[in-house]
Parts: sequence; C-alpha cells; structure tokens
Amino acid sequence: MNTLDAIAKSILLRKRFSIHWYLDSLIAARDCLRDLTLHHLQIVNTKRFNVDEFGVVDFDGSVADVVGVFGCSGMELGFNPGVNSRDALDGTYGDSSPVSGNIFVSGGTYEILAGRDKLNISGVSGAGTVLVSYIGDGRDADAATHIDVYAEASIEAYILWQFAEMSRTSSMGEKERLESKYIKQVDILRSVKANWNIPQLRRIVQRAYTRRYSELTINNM
Amino acid sequence: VISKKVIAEQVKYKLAAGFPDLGDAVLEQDIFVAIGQKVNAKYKLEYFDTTLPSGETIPNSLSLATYENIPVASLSNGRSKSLLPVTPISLPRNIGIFSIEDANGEVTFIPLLPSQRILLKNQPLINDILGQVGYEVRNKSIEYSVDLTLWNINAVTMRLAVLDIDQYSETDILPIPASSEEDIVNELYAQFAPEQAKKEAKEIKA
Repeated sequence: MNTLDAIAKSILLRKRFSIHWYLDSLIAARDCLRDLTLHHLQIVNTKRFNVDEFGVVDFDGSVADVVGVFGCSGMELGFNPGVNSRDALDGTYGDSSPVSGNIFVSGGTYEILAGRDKLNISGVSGAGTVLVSYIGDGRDADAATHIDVYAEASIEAYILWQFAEMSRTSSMGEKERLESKYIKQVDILRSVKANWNIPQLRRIVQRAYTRRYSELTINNM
Repeated sequence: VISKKVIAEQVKYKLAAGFPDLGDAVLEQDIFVAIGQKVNAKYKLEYFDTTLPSGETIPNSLSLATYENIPVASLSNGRSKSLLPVTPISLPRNIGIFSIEDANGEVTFIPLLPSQRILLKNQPLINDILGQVGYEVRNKSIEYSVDLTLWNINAVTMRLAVLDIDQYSETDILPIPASSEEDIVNELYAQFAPEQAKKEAKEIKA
C-alpha cells in the first residue's frame, strides 16, 4: 500500500518532471482519492460523536452515509426510517438498506435527518456520545492514509490526465485517450471491489434477459 | 559580483606583486580556462536536463551548480529564510532554483508559486503539504513555510541552474557567491605562482 505523497512523487519520477510539479500532482491525487473514496472504495470509518441535550448528533460535514450507530455500551442502536429521513422520503428504505433487520434491536433508535448531516437519537438516556460507523466523503484521508493498492492505478491515471488537461501542447486526442484510460482503471477498481459471486452474476444476466423479453412482448403488443 | 576578466586581473596583480608586465609567464587566457575548471569543481556543475509537462524544453547549455552551507535565518512570523547565493537563470515555475535540501540531503523542500501558499490554507488534507516544508521565492531570498532553525536545520544546500561556465564571456557576471570570490582568486594565485616563480628564476639566471 502507498500514501498520497508516494503516488504523487512516483508520477513525477516516471514522467521525469521536477519537484516543481509536485503540488499539481498532489492536488490531482487528492481530488481523485476523494472521488474514489466517496463513490467506489466506500471505506467504513468509525468515530465518536457528541450527542447534545436534544439527542441530536451534528456531523462535521464529512459523513456521506451512516452504516451503524452504537451506544456507550457498544450495543447497536436500531434504525428508525422516521418522517424526516431521506430513506423514508425517497422510498428507498427496504431490502436495499444496509441496516434492514436491525430496527429497534436494542431499545434505542436513531433517525438520519434529511440532508444526512445530523442524527436524531431517541430511547437512549444520558448518552453523551455515540460511536458512528460511516462512509466518509473522502476528506478525512490524511498524509498517513494508505491507498488501496487497486486505487493506485486509478489515481495515477487521473494525475496523468490532469497534467494533459493543464498542458497547452496536449492535443484533444491525447486528453481523451488519458481520460478513457482513467475511466477504464476506475472500472477495473469497481469490478475488483464489487465482490460479486456467481448467483449475483446469474441474477444480473437473468434480469437483463427478462427486460429484453418484456420489451419484445411490449413491441409485439 | 565578479567576472572572469576581474578575477584574471586580480590574479595577475598578485603574481606580479604589482602592475602586471606584458611578458609575464601567465596569460589571461590561461587563467580563464583555469577559472572554468575551478568553478566546475567547486560547485559540482553538471548538465541540466529536465522535461516540462507542457512539452517545452529547457534551453541547452545550462548547468546545475550546487551551493552548500547556505545559512538559514529565523523570521518573526514563525518562518525562516535564506538568501540566494547567486541569481539563477530565470525559467518557468522557478525551475532555475532546481532544488533546496537540508545539509544532509535527506529532506527536499517543496516549491510553491507566490499565490499558492494562500490558496492552500483552506484546502483540507494538503494545506500543510502533507507535513512537508514548502518555500517561496521572494526576489533574492527564499522564505520557508516553517522556522527551519527549530528543526535544527541551520544551513541548506541549493542546486541552481546557471549557464555552462564556457558560455560566460570575459565580462559576464559569474555564478560565484560573493563570499567565495576571494577564495577563488587565492586558489588561482596558488596554482599559477610556481609558473611565475620559474620564469623569474630563469630571468635571474640569464
């Protein structure tokens, strides 16, 4: 595993650029890592948050998705879809929810408020803090964050693409080639991280077949 | 600030112990060649070759000169600074100041463009350049983002882009720090003194 610093410098070494382009390389690496962390890597972090007197937990803006909430004793709180929850509003709460089946398991519950920057805790008295497992927005990576080995190639491809975008002498064809190379690397990363099994792949094929069949049926009607 | 011509004249004055004579054993041209050799050896001049991301190329006939033990002074704002020993060739992105390292060569400082330090301030993750030390070029001085003296770094090594020594004419300002000018004159005097002594001995015999 590598750090952002090592990736940024390896590009300079490979392209024979001097240290004067380090910051450009680092900024591109940071942007790419943030995007990958949010959308593809989805690294689950755990952090202790304060609960105020009204039972509200205020995130610092770095939480993209809550995976689980734990009380002081380490017991997991149940997820309450609530009326203000985005899950309840957009109707996506159901089998696809990562916390389905955990409702009211420990007496205490939490509700994710719309906008997902706050939690509403209820049924837990005297809780000063809660432990929240969450998927970050990528901004909580730091100098010591080790980059997933599969993400390295994507970050390197992104930096090279950004260098071409900034260059006045790169042709449009060159820029497009590097962009598609980056997209290809992200596809590889997604496929590696997807962790699909044979039944899931079979189901995807079946669903595709069903859709074609129904389209045919509709056309014939 | 000194040129080949001035160095050669000073060496000839010392050799002749006064106003030089036309028939001296050492000619100015000999001293010019020796100046080139001295500067090459003293500042470890090496061929400069780098690639710019824009595809531009660095002009030929540039060299990198290494200047060691450049002092670092504390500033009151929590940063520190050093003076450039010579004026490097002006190149895009200040590549003329090719690298600045601590005396052991273990830590390389990160160059920042004039406005970048302010822009970086509110950038999460990279606002402290991942814990590394940055520097900005301000006229003839280098300002570091931290006080290096607190890290026990009191001197740095700079590698600066200068012209190949053969490219300097007799009257061009040479890339020699003011503090080293006297050393070079003395070293050249020591190098040529035996030749002058031999000639004088021959004249006495005759």
